[in-house]
Amino acid sequence: MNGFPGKGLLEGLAVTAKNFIGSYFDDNRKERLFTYQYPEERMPLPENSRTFPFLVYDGTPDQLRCTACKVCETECPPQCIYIVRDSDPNGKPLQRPKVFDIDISVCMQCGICAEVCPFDAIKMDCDFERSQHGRFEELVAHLPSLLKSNDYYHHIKPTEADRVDATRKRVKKPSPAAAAPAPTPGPAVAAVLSPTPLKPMSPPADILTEDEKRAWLKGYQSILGTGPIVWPLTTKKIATTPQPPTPAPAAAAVATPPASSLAGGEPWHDSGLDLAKRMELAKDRSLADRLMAAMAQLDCQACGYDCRGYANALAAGVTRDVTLCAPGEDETKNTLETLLKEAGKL
Amino acid sequence: MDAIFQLLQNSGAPMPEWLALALAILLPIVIVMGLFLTVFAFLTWVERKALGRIQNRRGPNRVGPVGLFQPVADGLKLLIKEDIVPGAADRVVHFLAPVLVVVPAFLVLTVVPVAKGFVPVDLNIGVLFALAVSTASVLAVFMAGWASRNKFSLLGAMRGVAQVVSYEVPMVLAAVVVLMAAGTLSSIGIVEAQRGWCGWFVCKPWGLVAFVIFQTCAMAEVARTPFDLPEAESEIVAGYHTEYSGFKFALFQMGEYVAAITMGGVTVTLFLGGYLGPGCDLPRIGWLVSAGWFFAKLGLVVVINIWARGTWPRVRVDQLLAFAWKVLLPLSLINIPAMALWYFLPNRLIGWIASAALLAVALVGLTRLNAGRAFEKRSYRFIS
Repeated sequence: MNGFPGKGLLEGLAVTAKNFIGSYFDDNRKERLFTYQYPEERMPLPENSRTFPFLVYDGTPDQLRCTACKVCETECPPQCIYIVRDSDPNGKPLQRPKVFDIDISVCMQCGICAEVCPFDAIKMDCDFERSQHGRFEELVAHLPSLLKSNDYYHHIKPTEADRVDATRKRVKKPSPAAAAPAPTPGPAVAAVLSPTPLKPMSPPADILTEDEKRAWLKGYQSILGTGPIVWPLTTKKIATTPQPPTPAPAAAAVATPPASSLAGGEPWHDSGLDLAKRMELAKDRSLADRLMAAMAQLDCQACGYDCRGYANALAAGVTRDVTLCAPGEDETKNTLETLLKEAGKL
Repeated sequence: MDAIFQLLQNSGAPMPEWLALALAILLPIVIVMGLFLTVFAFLTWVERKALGRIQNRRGPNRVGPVGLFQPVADGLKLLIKEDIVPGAADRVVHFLAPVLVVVPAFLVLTVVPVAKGFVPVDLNIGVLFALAVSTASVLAVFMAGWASRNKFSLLGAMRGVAQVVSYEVPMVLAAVVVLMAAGTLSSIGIVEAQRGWCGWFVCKPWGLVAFVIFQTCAMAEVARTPFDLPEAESEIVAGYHTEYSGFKFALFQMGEYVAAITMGGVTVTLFLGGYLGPGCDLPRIGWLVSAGWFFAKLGLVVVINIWARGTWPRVRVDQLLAFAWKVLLPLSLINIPAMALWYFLPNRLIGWIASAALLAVALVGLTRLNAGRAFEKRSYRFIS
């Protein structure tokens, strides 16, 4: 035995007394009492913290980035997003949402909507004080409350917002409704894919080994200049498509589209037209053109291509999946199916 | 009480005798109850604040300035909570238990002199009454545990009974030396016996040992943290008050806290000189100064209680009983001859040293005897 009986008890008392007195008089008492007094004091949120999605606008709220392409609505795992496309008085659909509701009582804050959005229009907020008195209507966020400026986005997530801005500036998208992007002639696969790559493309089809793919990806990243690119999501659909082991015939077919496809331009490439009208315009064209006319004409790249690229890929048999056009919904899917069946390709 | 009655009779105010009697009875009750209930309410706040600081937290700080009205909010919350009685419970006993747990806690106050000349009843067996009544609360604890029809409640109640029965013995024996020194059982007599420089019994070697023993036993008897086995929340949910909610639960809490305060009051009376202190005999404000001294000392004892609660972990059941029977009981028995040595040796200094030496030897001897078997240091073949 060392010391005297009860020494340990007294030592314990000394420790607690030191804590007690220290919490009042210590120079570092702020660090001692490390609890944040929440409503008054707030912990700085980590930049990557996320709660519910919001819609980004540039400048004024009517300059909304969202085009109502419904990719997020389709991809949302708990299906908490509801979008209705706006239209002008003549009934011509417009490139913006009329209704954009997010049920935040259902939202699981996964951020997939922000990941899949082709227009960087929906981003994850970090505002967590969203409690309401009602359980139903009050927990549905409507369009006006979802709108937040790009400045706000920069304020809450500076790094991410800078990266997004840099990418948007570099890859200045032509207004989807205005210009009809011509398929660039050149390497076979590039014709299938978007001419203005926003997202990682799949490696050229003649590269087969894993190492070659990696090398290609590295080169691709260096061209794009955006740090590491994450493979999945946008490319997964291409990657999972059963590709012919020898891609030469298909690629050749895509590379040399029928002469007629460019002859009369692409008058249907206007998302304001409804499907029947578009099909009417493309009536006498090639299969690829008719397929393209069935698309939603948003070039939203939800399918992994732009509209022309997806049509070419379907026509060439590179993919057989007709469900990829998210904005076109069932209408497009059924038309594509019919067209391909008529052509005997399905 | 008698003093107030005589005062009212002699004041010349036209007042029938029965009214004076009723006033004389009611006035001290109202004063004492009001005083100690206020102290109880704010003691919970003090305790939570102090425990928070000990654990580097802030404690309650939302209701009122620095959380001062937290007890009010707690009380209101418990008052409007639903009162749930288990279906299989013995309803009458279940209802009576929380009432009975508060009564003995307050009864002890009748013999605690709060200020000079102010004690509700100056019983000539005051200390005996206090010790006897304070133990009665264990009956309520057992009633609660039994009536709840819940295994955890019953376990907690059994623990409570075992604990109080064990700790009552060294507690009374620790008080015996005080009675020997004062020569009376009256609480005022005991306080008056502690007059003079270093007259408090805690300043004597036997008094210090008795004080520590008494304080330990008091903590065990009101089941405060190192000894809170009857309501050990990490083992048996909430012990005997598992099945209580709302205001009945609040009554249990109140009984526990008031018992802690009143036992502190008894400790102050027996060992710390009660209301004695400089200025307690001043002609006009003496009663106020002496009340101040009493409550200052009471605060000290309460702080020791809170400090111990914030420091020491709960003991095991076997440790609890072993400590009572193997350490506290022999020590309090040896304390009696030590007091006799101090009292009967001709020279006070020699007596002081002799009794201190006897107690030191006893303490070291008891610790040695109780030291558990030291296990051999293990050596592992493949670990250097």
